[in-house]
Amino acid sequence: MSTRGTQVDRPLIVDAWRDLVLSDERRQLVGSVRRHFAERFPISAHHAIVPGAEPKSNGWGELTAAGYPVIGLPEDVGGAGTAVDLVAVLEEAGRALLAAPLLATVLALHVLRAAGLPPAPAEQAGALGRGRGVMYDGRVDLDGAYVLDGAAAEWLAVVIPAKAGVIVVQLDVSDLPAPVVSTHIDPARPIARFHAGGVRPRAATGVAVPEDVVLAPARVAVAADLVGVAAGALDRAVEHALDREQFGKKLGAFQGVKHRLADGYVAVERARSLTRAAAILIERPEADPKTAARLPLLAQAAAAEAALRTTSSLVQVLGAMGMTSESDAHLFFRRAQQTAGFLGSPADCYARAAEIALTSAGSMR
Amino acid sequence: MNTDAISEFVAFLDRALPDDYWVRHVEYRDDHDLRARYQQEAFDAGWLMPEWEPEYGGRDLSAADGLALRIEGARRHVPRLLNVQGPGVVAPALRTFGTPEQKARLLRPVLRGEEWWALGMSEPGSGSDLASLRTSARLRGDHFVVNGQKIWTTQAHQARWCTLYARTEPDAARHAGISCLILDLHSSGVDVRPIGRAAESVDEFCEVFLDDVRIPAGNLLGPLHGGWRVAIESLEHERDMIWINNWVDVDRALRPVLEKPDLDRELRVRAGRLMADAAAIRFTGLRSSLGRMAGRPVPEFFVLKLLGSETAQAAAQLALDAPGLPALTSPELFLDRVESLGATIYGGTSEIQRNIIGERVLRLPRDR
Repeated sequence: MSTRGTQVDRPLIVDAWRDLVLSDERRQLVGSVRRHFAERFPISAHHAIVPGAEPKSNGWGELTAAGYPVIGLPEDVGGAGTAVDLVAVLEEAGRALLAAPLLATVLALHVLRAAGLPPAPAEQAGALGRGRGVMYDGRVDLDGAYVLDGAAAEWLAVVIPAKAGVIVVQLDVSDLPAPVVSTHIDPARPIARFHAGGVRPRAATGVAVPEDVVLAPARVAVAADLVGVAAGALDRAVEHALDREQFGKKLGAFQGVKHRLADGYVAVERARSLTRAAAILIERPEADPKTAARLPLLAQAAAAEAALRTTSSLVQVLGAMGMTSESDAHLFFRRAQQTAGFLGSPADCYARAAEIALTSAGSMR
Repeated sequence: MNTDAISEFVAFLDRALPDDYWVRHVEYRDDHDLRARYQQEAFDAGWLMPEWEPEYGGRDLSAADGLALRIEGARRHVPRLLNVQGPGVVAPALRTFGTPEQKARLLRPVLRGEEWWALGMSEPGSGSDLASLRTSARLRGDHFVVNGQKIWTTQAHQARWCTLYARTEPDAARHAGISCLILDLHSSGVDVRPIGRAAESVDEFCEVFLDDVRIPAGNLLGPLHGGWRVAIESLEHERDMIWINNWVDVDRALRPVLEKPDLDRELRVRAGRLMADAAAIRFTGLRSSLGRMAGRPVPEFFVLKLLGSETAQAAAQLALDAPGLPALTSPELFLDRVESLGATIYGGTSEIQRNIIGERVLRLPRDR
């Protein structure tokens, strides 16, 4: 073997990346999930979800029966399938603007797992919280943890900043005072704010763990959801550009519109490639360890940018129609705005990824 | 995966390149003798077009193995070809469209770099709108008579041959009346004049004047009036693999930036975004290559030129911005930035790429 060659990573073997292309089996999975969501969780149902109203039945039982929440978890905790399956399913959930706490539960389950905590009961809806708090004598105080889609959660995984990392606690919602629920952005995925004083968690990390490690799988899951939101918004914008005429031409014939949509397509595929690659590396980081450390951040940032861009483009391409409640455009915009920054803004993620690269610069390829 | 082929390729690189190549590959970019020698040795050993049949200097490797080898080579910074459009654009066109005589005469010298090629495409009135070209070629018995002018023709003054796109059927619809002719640039009636460059890091352009130039009828490449397909397919072949270089180039431009411990927040964000772009080029390239091997439609392929070229520019700008004032006295960074300006122009501008995505992928109507 070459002496120069020893300085080169070997993450380059093409076979390791086969799952970047969906297998026939996985395409069938995606097709059946898409039909399931379209039939049972149509986007039209969102119009019945008004800001401020109590959420109705969220179809959670149906999702657990289908086994979606545990895709990508190990078999010994009741899981099935791979992280690549999970992101394929979550992309469909994003595309459908699923009004059920699938993403929330997936985030919480994967944070528990990444933190080395025991799994929560699979049939219960969970959610992930972020916020300040303290642990003492086996109890936790929470100073208003923000929980994405937390109004219907039965349990929470909360990530609390600590010295040199984060601590993670799993809490039973019935032990907590009722949260303050905000529905003004995305009422189908409300933000719940939880306070707690002296609550005994179901489980907690003994020492601080690195935030990058704890949040990595959750970032990939958020990315998958946002890729779906972005792709769904782009599809609708393209559909409208093919349908509506002005100045005697289809909107999509005008370069101002065409190029906006082309840029949206680039943003979606950029994010989709990063998200799929990140899913592959979640399970096989040894295929490219350096990339594995930063890719969840990059995928999340790219997916957030794609979703923010295409959902706002959708409104713009629809014009005045996009500003009415009769179109779905505002639903996509709301979903993107609420979810994109939950685990940090794109700029935060990019800066963090660069910091990881900086600290390993001496050992870079 | 044929790991033997990779090991063999690596062993070849160790033999063909100097011992300090790995640490000094940036300086070796200016060593034209090394680059020329490398190309010859790579061709002779079957590594230049490893997926091709042995008869054309290949090793019959599978598409997957060929891809793995090219990635391996790019990551090892193998020397860039001096006349890159020869092996990258012309040779695949010769292999696909050439007659047995054309292949026998032309393939080996172009692949070994013994004979350079120019691409005779743009004209003063026809840049992005290539199909409006006006250079005419009239078939007169056993030869064409060519009149017209090409411009911004890279390396024409150093090239022996040119794939000349000319109108052979003046009455046909725009795309349907064009043919590709193999022009010997040493023919009488050909006048090649270099054009001053915006900076020394920019490839050398020429004007090519064609005054009653006779081209033998046997030098027609592809079908008569079928030149448009030759142009499109040969450029697409180049785009198949160019993402590998884009990815590695962006990675390389970022490296000195990421070695600055005092990088401020704005520069960190930009560096991180470019890391995402580089990874997106890599994984979208792999996705589309693997998808094609699996017989799938690969619409995502069409983002690669746009994403690759725009990212290369942003990376060159970041490399220029990151050092602060010292960048003003360091010519290399500026020259790299100027060179990067061309990436969104040649091979189809970014605006044309957006049209392609809009029309071929999203199926939006044409407006032209």
